[in-house]
Amino acid sequence: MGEVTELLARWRDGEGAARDALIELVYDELRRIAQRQFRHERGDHTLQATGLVHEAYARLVGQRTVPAADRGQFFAIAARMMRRVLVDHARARRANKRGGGQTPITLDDEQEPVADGAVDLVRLDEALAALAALDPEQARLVELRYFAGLTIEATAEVLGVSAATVKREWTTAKAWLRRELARDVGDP
Amino acid sequence: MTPDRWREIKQVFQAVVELPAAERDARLAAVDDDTRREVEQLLAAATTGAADFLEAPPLAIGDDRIGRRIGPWRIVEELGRGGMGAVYRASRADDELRGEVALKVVKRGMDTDAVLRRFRAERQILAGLSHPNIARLLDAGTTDDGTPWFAMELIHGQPIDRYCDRHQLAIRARLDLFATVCSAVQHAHQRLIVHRDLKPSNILVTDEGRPVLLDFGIAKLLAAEADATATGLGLMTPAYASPEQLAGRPVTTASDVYSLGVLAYELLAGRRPYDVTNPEAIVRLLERGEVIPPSAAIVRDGGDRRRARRLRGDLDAIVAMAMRPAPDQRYTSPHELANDLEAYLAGRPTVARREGLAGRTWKLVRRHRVAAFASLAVVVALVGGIVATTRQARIADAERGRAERRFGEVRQLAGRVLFELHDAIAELPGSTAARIRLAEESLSYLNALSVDATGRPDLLVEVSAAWLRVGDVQGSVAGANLGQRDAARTSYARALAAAEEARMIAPASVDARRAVAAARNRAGDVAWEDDDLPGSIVEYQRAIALLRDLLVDAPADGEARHLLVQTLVDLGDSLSRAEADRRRASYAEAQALAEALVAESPDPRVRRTLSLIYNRAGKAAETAGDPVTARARYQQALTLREEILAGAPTSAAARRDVSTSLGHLSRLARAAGDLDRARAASERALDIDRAIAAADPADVRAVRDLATSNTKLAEIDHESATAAGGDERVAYLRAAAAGFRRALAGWNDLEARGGFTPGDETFAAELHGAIATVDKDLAAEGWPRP
Repeated sequence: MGEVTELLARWRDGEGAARDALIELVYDELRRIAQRQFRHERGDHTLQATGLVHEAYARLVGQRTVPAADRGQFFAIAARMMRRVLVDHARARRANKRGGGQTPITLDDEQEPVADGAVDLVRLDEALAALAALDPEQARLVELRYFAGLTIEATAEVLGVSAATVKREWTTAKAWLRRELARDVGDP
Repeated sequence: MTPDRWREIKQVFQAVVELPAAERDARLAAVDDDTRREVEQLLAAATTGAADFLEAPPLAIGDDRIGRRIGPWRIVEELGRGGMGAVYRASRADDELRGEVALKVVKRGMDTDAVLRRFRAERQILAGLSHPNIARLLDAGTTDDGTPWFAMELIHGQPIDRYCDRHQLAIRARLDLFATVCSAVQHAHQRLIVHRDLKPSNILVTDEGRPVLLDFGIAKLLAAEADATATGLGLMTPAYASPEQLAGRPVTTASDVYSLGVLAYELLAGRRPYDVTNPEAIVRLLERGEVIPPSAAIVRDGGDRRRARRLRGDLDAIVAMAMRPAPDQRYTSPHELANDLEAYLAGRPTVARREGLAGRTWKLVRRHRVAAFASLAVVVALVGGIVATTRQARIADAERGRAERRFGEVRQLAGRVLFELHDAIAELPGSTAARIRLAEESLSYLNALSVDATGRPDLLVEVSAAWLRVGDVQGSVAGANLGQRDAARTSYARALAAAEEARMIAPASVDARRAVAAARNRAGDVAWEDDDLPGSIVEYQRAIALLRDLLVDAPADGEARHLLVQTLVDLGDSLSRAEADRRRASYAEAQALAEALVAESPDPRVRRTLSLIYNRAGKAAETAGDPVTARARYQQALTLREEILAGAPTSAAARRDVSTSLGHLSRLARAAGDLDRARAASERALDIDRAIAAADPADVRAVRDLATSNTKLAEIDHESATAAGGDERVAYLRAAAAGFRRALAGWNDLEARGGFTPGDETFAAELHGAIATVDKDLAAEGWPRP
């Protein structure tokens, strides 16, 4: 315990290795929580990403709320983690369907994260990588809004901008991503 | 596409996306074709069918039962879920019959034999009940996969407590509703069914005002049952549970009577009889008779006095009789409880009053108080006993004057116990248990005193101060405390209520105003603790405004001035970096006020506060790269702390403060390359820390302090060695090697005692590294490993 706080502090002091260690730590924890919840409490409740993220935090740091000073940093990491967990899972399922060999276990196998409508998480992930090259701020925003499930207001707080800005950038990013995904389908 | 190009497109898109179509086209006509095409594609992607795109979270495991058919019912939505089952709103799937039901199904994955047995028992129990105030069983069956289900009457209503509050029901109407609930419980009892989980959320009141009893999920058939213990406390709600339930003893119909008593208490007083939810704590409260009657609870919370007067007497007694700790001393049935209420409403004498049991529920404790606790607790207990006696004595008019005098003396004694005794033992090793006792005993004393204080501003101020004190002991932000933060919050809230009441009665009273400000200061601390910085700022500013106002009328009030200084510092701490100017101004004002105060008063608390302000200033200068100012401030803090220590040479806290200040000065000197000065300060700090640790071997914090001081001095010695040569170099290296080893021994000791906190492993690891380096340096000088 306390490892996360320590790593956050070291990362803040510019230690890149701390960030990587932190990511591994949070990733493992998220996976464990997801597995536990999915296996034992199937259909029990709607699992929101923010709830998951908070639980991961609570379990790693041993306190319920993220202190204000660490909030932005923590959610940025958490959003990145959620993206990895979900995309890895989607990728594994895809591999399975194609009869691929070994599958990395991400979420419990009988559980399907319900992506809304037709969003393909693997393709979304690729599109997001392309967006990050053009507009890293927007890509971060999408991670926070979509993968970490933060509200407009919470995203604004984390990014240190106004809610109006978040709304405007969110609309733009979604339009860009949607066009990008549609384009993929058109190109065989 | 390049980032720059994207920025151009984005700008145009954002400028037009919110515009109506016509305006949008006009704007787009002005840009080049390529950009227009891009923006139009984006607009199309942002509008047609895009409403839901990415708006739902990617991870949403829904309930797959919604929309499914179970028996003739189609599940519409979830209403709630308990330990074993989920309850859904469901409608007829075949449209043969209209209407909706509440359908209960065993939770997924919970279909173990025990749960299924329990579930069938509930169905059985419901089938045996037929009462207008109990939800009826309508239908039952088993799904294809063997999961049992049943359908009940769907009740549209609110929990009874909320219903009473929403409709602002008068006492009489509340009692009527409650009596109806009693009749429903009575009906169940006559069929040998104990509900075992009576609480507001299980009693809904419809819009027509009909209360309906729900959820017999953990009810028990008295006749049968081998699994009586298996369905005990784990599933029920401690706040409404009877002592026998909490203790895991056999449950009878009397247990429901107790829960009805708690419900009546809540409906009458507007709050539960106790805040604690931990079963052991509840049992302790009950056994010690520390639950105060509903009327007193209203008074204490600053509620409606008229209502409190109405409860005093019969209603207090009736609730008390239902809540008697011993089952055989309660009403023998819900029916009897309802009858007694009816008697009260009809103006007839009540059983509860006649039997005079009320006093025994509420104040049974006094006789048992002088038990074999620490002598300290006994003192407090005696005080509590005298307060109670005095209160009774006060009633007799003839003795009034004498009783008042005696009451005053007792108050003083109690206050001294609470304030001075606590301080005296706070620094003692192993005093935590005693301090908890003290805080708890003080609480019962305060509850009693609060009732007496009604309408008397001087007493209210005293009560407020005592609540603050208890809150500090339980869990203040600053300083050692018992870590009972929620309890502290409640105590602070009561302090504020008492202070505000005093101020209302005596708006000009300096004491009352100061009390309100002090309570606001703690409210700010609580908000700060919750990470609610804006909230804390509001509270601190309120306190500051009150104090400034007060100081106009009473400019010499030292307490108020000190409080103002502290609150200004607190406010500064809450202000963000974005408000650096305000923050600096707040600290600066605090410093000026504190300096003036120190010049006038010998009070060590003020000196300590000022030293804290100097340390903040020192730290700020150090961070800003101004070591000259930093040293001046740290030195000022040290001087003040040495003065305090001179006045209290045995105080461990004062000694530790001096050591901390020396540490700041040493660090600063070392950073400036002045190693001799750094060493001198560090050596003094080490001496102090060593003395503190030796004086109290149980003090884990002292072990940590000593290990840290050893490390710092060893680092200075090691650094000195690099600049030195020959014998001098060897001497430094040997000192460093010994110092690091002492430090490591300290860390090991700390770890062995379980005193490690996050990050401490790193320190220990670094020490190993440091020792290895020094040993190598020594070896290079021809010295063997020490």
